[in-house]
Amino acid sequence: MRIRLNINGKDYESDVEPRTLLVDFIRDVAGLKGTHIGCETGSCGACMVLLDGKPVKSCLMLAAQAEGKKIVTVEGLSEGGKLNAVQKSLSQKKALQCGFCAAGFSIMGTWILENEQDTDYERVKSDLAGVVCRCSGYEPIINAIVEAAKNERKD
Amino acid sequence: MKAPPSFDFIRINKLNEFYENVDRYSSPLIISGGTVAVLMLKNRVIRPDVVIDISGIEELNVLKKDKEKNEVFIGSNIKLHELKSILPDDSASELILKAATTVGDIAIRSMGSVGGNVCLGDPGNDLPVALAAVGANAVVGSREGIRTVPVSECYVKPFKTVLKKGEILLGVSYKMLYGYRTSYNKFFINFLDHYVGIVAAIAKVEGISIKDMRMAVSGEAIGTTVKIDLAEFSKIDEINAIKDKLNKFVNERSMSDDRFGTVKFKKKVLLTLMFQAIDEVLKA
Amino acid sequence: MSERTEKFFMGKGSFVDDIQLPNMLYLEIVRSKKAHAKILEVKGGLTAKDIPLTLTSTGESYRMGRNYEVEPVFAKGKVLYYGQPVAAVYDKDKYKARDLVESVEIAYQELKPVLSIEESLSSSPIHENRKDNIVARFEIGKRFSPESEVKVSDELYMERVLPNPLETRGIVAYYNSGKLNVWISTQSVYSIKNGLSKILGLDPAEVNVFQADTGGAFGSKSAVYPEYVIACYLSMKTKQPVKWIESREEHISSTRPGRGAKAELQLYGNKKGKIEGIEGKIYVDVGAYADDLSSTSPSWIGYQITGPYLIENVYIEGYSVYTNKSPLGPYRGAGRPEAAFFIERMIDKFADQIGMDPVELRLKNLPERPFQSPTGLKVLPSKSFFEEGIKSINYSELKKRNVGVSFGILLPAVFGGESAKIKIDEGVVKVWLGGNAHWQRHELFVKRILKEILEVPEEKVVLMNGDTTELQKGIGTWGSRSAITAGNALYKAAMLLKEKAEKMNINSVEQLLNSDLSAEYYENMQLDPTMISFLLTAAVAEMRDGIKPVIEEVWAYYDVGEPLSEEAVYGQITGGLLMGVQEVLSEALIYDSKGKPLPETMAATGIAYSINAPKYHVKIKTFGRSNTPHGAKGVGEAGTVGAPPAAARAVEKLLNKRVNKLPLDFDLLA
Ligand SMILES: Cc1cc2nc3c(=O)[nH]c(=O)nc-3n(C[C@H](O)[C@H](O)[C@H](O)COP(=O)(O)OP(=O)(O)OC[C@H]3O[C@@H](n4cnc5c(N)ncnc54)[C@H](O)[C@@H]3O)c2cc1C
Ligand code: FES
Ligand code: FES
Repeated sequence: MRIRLNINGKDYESDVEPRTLLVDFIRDVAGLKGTHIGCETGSCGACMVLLDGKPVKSCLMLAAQAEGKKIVTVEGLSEGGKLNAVQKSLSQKKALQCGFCAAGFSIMGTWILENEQDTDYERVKSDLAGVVCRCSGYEPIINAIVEAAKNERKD
Repeated sequence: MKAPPSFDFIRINKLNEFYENVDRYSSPLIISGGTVAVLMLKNRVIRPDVVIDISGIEELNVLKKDKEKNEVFIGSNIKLHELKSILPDDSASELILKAATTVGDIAIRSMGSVGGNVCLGDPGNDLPVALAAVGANAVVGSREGIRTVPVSECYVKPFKTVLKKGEILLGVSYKMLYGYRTSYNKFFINFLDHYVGIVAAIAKVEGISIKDMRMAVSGEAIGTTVKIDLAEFSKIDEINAIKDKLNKFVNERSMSDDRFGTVKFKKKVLLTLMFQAIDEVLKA
Repeated sequence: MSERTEKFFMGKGSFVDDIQLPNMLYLEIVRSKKAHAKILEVKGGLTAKDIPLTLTSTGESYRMGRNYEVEPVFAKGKVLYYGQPVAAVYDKDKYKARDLVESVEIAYQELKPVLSIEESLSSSPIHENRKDNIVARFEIGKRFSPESEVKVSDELYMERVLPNPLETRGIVAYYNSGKLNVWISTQSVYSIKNGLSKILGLDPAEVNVFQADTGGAFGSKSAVYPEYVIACYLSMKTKQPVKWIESREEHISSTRPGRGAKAELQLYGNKKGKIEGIEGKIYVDVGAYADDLSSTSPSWIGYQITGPYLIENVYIEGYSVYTNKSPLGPYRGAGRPEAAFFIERMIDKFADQIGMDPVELRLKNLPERPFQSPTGLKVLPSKSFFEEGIKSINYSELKKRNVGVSFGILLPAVFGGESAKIKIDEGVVKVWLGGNAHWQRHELFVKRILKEILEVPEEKVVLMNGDTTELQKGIGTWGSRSAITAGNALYKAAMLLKEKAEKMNINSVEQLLNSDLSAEYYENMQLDPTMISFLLTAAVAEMRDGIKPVIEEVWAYYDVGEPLSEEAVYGQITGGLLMGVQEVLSEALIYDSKGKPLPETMAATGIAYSINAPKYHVKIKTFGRSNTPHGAKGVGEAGTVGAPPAAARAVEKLLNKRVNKLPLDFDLLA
């Protein structure tokens, strides 16, 4: 079937099987490789994208379900090659190690900055409950997002 | 790699289109948010000939408040994360909201619908427990018309509900309750990613008299959502008798030692959660 | 700012699944659904008939001439574990390849699986050519006749745990104009190159291995696995590029887990708390096939059983045994956490038995002078370190809570040494390490060392992914070794480069960056007691919701030698601590009664999420520098060594019930 998806403001259209997963459309059809596959079952958040502004796990959706919606992937967060506040903070604070979880945490972190009233440590910690990082023990990531939110408030 | 088997895909925007289409296929699968449905497809435990995406049916994407009947109807397509901003502020809704906000993580709540949560029949699902406790009904539609079933009677066994082929959950409805205390507790274990027990309770207490009290339980220890009748108790100083009844309920359930733990452990978990719930809803 | 992570935010990483080549074929493996069975017939797919090869042992701790059963690429005649490759299918469309898995029919005749160490010792051999299920037997230390006042006995067990890096394993193989080119997510391009060329019978000069960005490993990406051989074989046959990406389900059934170790120990001492000896047996369940590392694992655990302590009498018998489970591999710590868990849990029990404070008892048993254990392990005195640490974590206050404390050592796996290459290329200083990077810390220490010696600014230094065409010889990244071994090689390569520059009268950084100088250095290394770091870990447990034990807070007071970058060391430590804590509470690979892994998803393996993270209190210390030019010690595995015994003790105090088995048996709560 023909599917047209709007990803990071751009339309991608292709003839794909109805069973095509959203994550595979993003990676293989649109060629955006920043969205990763970690677990395939909704356990890890490596495949996280924003769908009409809401965080979703693209391994648990069919591409066909996303038609007519606006998708933002990790690539879409950094405008004109400049990292956004969350990404900058994660990077400056060296919060990540292997970096495979970068998409999940930047998507969730960005959503937190834009949607949460409180952005204290405990809130951020519980908001991140669906994204796995096997390397860091989470604290460096939580701190980086809390810090990004603080700086954002100041501005 | 996990990939779904092949199927046809149709997207439906009107309820009657659903009824027209569903009969044309032999093994249709409804998806709303798709979280679990897509997972089951990827695991190839189901092989539908068609996947029917109902998320576009606007009639199922509504919340109706009927002041006269004092009733709320939550349409199936409403996403779990939306409930927070649209549910009324009565006690029944409060309990339902407590359950909804503990589902998965933010992404799962953004994707997952009320209908999907109610129709799956996984003993780890949250809404059914709260809905059963408040006495909600499932509103089921089909070509023949609409029938309602108490949510507490919807579950036959794990992953098996009373819904038949050609039927669709339109939503759930319940009476608004005011001045109740609510409690929602569950015991989660990371290993095997499961809830051993889930307990929802709601009670109205005036002075020392209990005007109304209801409880429902689920989780792997129990297997399906079960309502526990506590109507016989009318005084808060009967708390020991209440706990005796719960004890008896738990001890009479048939359980076995399995991957989720020993019978001894499961009983301990259920009773701890139930006693906590009773203490919370009855405390002055 | 770190360029390495920046590219991941831009989606510019190059993980193995990101590699797309024209005409690529997707490989899928058809795996055994039985843990132990005769294969009566296989219809369809590539099988052992097409690729009758057997793996050789490479990777971590590779030694020659051992007598054990090595895994065949495809099961031959029998399957010996659930998830063992039986056949392979492929297609140019990845979904079609997945569909083809279902076209392969396998007929089995089921046999009774051997699923525990106990069953292994009492059952007939799963390998018909052997007389029993024992892979190897070891004697560590020296027999002694205990005459002590106090005898403490216990049986301890650490369950299998999956490495579960966020990125699973994967490979792209392309045989093109007489060369086998391999892109792979790995801890060592060298063990992959050596292994593949040996197994496939190729001249090593024909095999090029390039490291893709590597999304974590924790031990799982050092060895050569059957799928790699199959991918290469298929590319050689079709002359097309072949990609294989592991699913999480396959990771659970078929990637090598770690731990699975049991000890039956007796600790001897006097009523004043002096430990006089330790003896007993250590068993390791290596699964269906063995390699050098797994077969010798009991002896490696036994070697370090005395930890930082002075224990004069040690006698351990070690056994590695076969079971019908996936072959064992290293998991973050690989033997070190097992040794620490065993000795530390015995010491706590000893303290309880004589009514002494467990920390006091520990301090009492540290050596005053360098000590050589009967196992051969040499440790330096560490009393002042641990005394300081105890003060630093405020133990006298912590004692009022449900606290567990562990003392530990971290032995870096420096054997084999390491190589490094520096090449100046169009104004950029490119660096290759034999132990290739898969996380930030490498990049940070590389920049720091080069800044120190060559004065080149950090932004001009790029750490390249492992590449056998650039740097011919190397070992790998594991066993807390890189900072020491690769750091050492890089330091010396930088000195060589500096010498060259001086000879050529290059005396400014600008001139250096305009040159095309390069230098390469390799050095073998031996473990030296100065390289061993000391670890003090504490954990506090609390009961949540009246029934659920959690670890609320963790303290780590860790000696890392000269830290190369505190920030990055910090994340390594918290990451390891969380894994260690979770191993106590819920992380495990457990099988059903037929030998099928119980967890079906990543979440179900019990890994930690953000909400499980305790509050960390980390102090990074330098308790002496190592005997290397840059003074570093290991750190990568510190948390997984220190946390389990501390957390287990904390839970034990909370429940007032002995915790001698990991993960926690929830029946203890009932
Ligand atoms: C990682 C993860 C964590 C989760 N955690 C939780 C949790 O903590 N608690 C919890 O309760 N659930 C949890 N879930 C399960 C699930 O996501 C939720 O129950 C969600 O609400 C399902 O909604 P959905 O719209 O995605 O359902 P879908 O996947 O679309 O459908 C689920 C099932 O319901 C049927 N169905 C859906 N709508 C209708 C309808 N209107 N009429 C008839 N049948 C219908 C489908 O055919 C399918 O069988 C989790 C899932 C994942 C993947
Ligand atoms: S890959 Fe989608 S949640 Fe893990
Ligand atoms: S940095 Fe490796 S998974 Fe997060």
